[in-house]
Amino acid sequence: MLIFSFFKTLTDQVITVELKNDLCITGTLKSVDQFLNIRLDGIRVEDPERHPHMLAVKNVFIRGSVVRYVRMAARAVDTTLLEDATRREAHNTGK
Amino acid sequence: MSGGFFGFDTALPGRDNAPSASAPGGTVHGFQARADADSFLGGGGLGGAGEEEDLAVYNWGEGMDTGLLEGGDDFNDETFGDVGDFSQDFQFSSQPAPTPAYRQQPRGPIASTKSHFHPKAQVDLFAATEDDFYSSRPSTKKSTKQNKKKEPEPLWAKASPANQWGASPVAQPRTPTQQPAPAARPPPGQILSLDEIEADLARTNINVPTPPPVQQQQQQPRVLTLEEIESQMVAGTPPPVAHQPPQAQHQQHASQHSIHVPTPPQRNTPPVSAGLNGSGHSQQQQALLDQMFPDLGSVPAPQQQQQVPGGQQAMAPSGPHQPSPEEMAHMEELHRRIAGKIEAMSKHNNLMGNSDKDFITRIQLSQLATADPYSSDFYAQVYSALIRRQQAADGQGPTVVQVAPGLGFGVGAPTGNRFGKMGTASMQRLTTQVKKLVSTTAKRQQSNMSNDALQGALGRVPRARSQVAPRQVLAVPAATKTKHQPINQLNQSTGPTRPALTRKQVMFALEELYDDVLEIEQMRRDAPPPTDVPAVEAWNAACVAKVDEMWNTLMVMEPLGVSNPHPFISLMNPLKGQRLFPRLLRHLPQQQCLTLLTLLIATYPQLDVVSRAPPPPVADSSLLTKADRLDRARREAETDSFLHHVIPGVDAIINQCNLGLVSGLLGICSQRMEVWKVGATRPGVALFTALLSKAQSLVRAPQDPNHPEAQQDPAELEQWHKMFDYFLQIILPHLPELFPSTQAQKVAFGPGAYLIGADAAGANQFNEKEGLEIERREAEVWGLAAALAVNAPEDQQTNLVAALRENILHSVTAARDSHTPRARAEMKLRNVNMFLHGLGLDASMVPT
Amino acid sequence: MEDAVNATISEPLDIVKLSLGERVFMKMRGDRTITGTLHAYDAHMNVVLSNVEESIHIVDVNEDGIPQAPRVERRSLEMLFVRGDGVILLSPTQ
Repeated sequence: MLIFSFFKTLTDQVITVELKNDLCITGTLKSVDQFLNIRLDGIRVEDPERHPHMLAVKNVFIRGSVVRYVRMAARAVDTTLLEDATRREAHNTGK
Repeated sequence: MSGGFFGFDTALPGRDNAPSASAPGGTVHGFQARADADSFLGGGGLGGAGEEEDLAVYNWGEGMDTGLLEGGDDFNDETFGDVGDFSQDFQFSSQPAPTPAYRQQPRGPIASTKSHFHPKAQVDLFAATEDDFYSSRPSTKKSTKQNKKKEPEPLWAKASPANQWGASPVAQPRTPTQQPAPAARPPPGQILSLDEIEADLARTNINVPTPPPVQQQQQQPRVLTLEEIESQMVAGTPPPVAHQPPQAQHQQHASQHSIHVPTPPQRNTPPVSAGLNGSGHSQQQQALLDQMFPDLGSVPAPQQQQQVPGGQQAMAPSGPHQPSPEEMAHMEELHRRIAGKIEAMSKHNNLMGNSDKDFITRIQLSQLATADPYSSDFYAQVYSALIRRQQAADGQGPTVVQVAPGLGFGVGAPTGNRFGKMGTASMQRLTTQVKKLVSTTAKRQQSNMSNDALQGALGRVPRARSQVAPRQVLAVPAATKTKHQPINQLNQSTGPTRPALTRKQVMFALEELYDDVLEIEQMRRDAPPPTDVPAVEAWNAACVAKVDEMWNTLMVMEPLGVSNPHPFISLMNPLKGQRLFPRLLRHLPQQQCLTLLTLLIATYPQLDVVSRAPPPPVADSSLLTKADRLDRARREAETDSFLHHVIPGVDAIINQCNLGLVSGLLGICSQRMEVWKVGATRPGVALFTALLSKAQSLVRAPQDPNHPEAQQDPAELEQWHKMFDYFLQIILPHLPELFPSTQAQKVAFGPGAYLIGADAAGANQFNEKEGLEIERREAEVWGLAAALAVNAPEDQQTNLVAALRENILHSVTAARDSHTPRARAEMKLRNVNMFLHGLGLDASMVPT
Repeated sequence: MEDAVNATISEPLDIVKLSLGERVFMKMRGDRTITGTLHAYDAHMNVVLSNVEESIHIVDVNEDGIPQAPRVERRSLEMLFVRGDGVILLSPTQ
């Protein structure tokens, strides 16, 4: 649940989702679920020439399993808190 | 009519086992092909005898009446007794008295899946939704009202007006024979006859001025831009169906779209709307689509306009803005693609019924909600709490969605997500359901997942919520971890010295420390109410025990020379150890803080940031190899981190010391380290400056007679002066070398590798930003010089000035040099003045 | 001493935990490598990294089907979530 929790704090932030097929979609994160499926609004595709079929698409729901990376702004993340949360999670599941 | 159907005569020979086969002229499965009375018989027979079943009435097409076989009734009287006249309106319910109103209800040609009649063994083959599919089984519900199927409290009812109008009886004239075959298409809420459709068409055509015969835009159909629509509205054209009551409007909608299949003369893309809106769930879908594709909102609008072919389009050019043909073509193309997409998607419409959706929502919520949001949702909860604290000034509300009091749901935009569509009532209902789900799941897990249940379980252990925390198939509990043994064993080897901790050991110890700190922080948050004295005592004891544990892990009490670096210093070398430092101090009692500081100062030279301080910058970093550059960057980052995380803590502890302690600490400095080497590093400068300024503030403290303890013990004062003299003696000869500019000059070798000097020419080799950074670092050393100056007795002050004469002159002349950037020149002067003011001098007194 | 540490590390993820807050090197599917500061991980090896440098190792093939010398494409990203199913290994950097 840690990463899910992490993504929840990114809602309404602009993120870039890089898929395993190299398609990069930038948009506003609207929601995420525990499978890390992602819903993006107002999307823009990097390199639209290569992906013309995405031109008309404005909102997407991305299945979590096709995601390779998600890029985000560093200021949107409290790294100290995130590390603490990771330790707590490891502590709770490890025992 | 067979008795088997009515469930009365179960003992009739030859009826029991094969009632359907023996039903006169009937086949059970003839139901689909031919909805005649025989299938009712068969279906009823399958229902089993003696079951008191309510069978809802099923009106399956008009052909039913005529299709009824009226033969074989000879024994009816025998079976039922004399019950009088039978009409052809059968009430297949066990309720004896059919309501007259019902009987008079016309047997419309409504092919509705909402009907409750179904053969028992069959599910509704025409069910449009899974809901209907299952709910079509005979239920014990008393309601036999035609076409009124009550959905089990759909939470989405508000969002689906389609249910209401789709299920309501339709009073439209139609010819039964022209009823579309129900099996041809999954029946929508209502299927309109051709007659009806034509009537609708006629009506719309009447309402609208007939279009000019040749309309160029007629060939370019159905794409209207929003501007056009707006312009039409502005022009005052009444909405095409405004005169009709809303209900009729809906129907007209449906009929209009149903038209597309048979009569599509002016429309290029009829299947879109047919697929979308003809399915009887258009409203719901449209709502859904609108929600998913707000940007496509313009698509339905043109379709509405399309109801009035031509006429309004003719008015379009009068609008304020007429899009160019290319724009139009582009828009058209876009819309066609969008429409095609929607059509392609629409074949999946209504795969799920409302209760399915509710069910899934509940499952999802139950997985998301948790009884303790701080354990599984720690990051989101604390993060949003921090954000809220920031936003408190702005008066913004909480961002955490509360599923229920105490059941955190994480942050998220409550308006933007799918829950926004639900009313508060629905949300509350969900809340209670989720609460129940969560508590039962927790209970089940507790009872199921005890160790006993797992011990020796070689097979798969089914486990709820495996998604959340995947667990190995075989989870035999290990013997209880002896947690703190290893940390003590890190120090267990005997003998006066031993090898330094490996990186892995350091990391391990640091993680233990982090865990301890997190636990302590959690304990402090969970403090019992102060009134509960025993609890407070227990809590205090637990906290002290935890802090002791942490203290042991810190290894501060190890002998000084046990290893190089000392174990504690090893912990402070990595970035994450430095970040931990201030958090550790918060929990340590003051005595332990002091011990820690003493150890830190005594082993200061062992710190990476001191022993491997970053070399002075070079003028042209391109001369360095990549590895060198990376190494420098890493060391700089470590130094920055040390200054940012550790030094403030050190300052804080020093600030609590009295003069005796400060002179003691300064004594350690002079004796245990090569002061000039340590002083040449930024952490060293910071430490010395902190010690000297604290001492100065203590010495100069106003002698308050009311607070005798604030007065300095003359013995301590004496000791301080001795310590300072000694320190000054050691450092004075090296003082100029502490400046980064001097260090840079010293290592300046090789062509091109001009390193900064205090002179303007050297300085100009750096860009403005780097130059300012260098001045900032110079300022740190000037600060130390100033601290020395204010502490020094008068005779030593002249020595100080003499030692720094070169640096002062360089700085002042560089500052007065017109080539030096203004900001940097000012900084240089300020730096020098920091020192000179301590002596009562000023840079302006320096002759040029 | 080393044994004492090893005795308490019972799961692979315990080792990953030691690298929390430190720079790590990750080898990924698709001939990619990543270095960055580790801020979060979970049981699936989903991780969150900052100050990331990614390298993609590419071997181009010319028209004749002859592979060219491998080249490396690099890029820097300030904050990155990496989905765990693409991770091959994670190790602390020196």
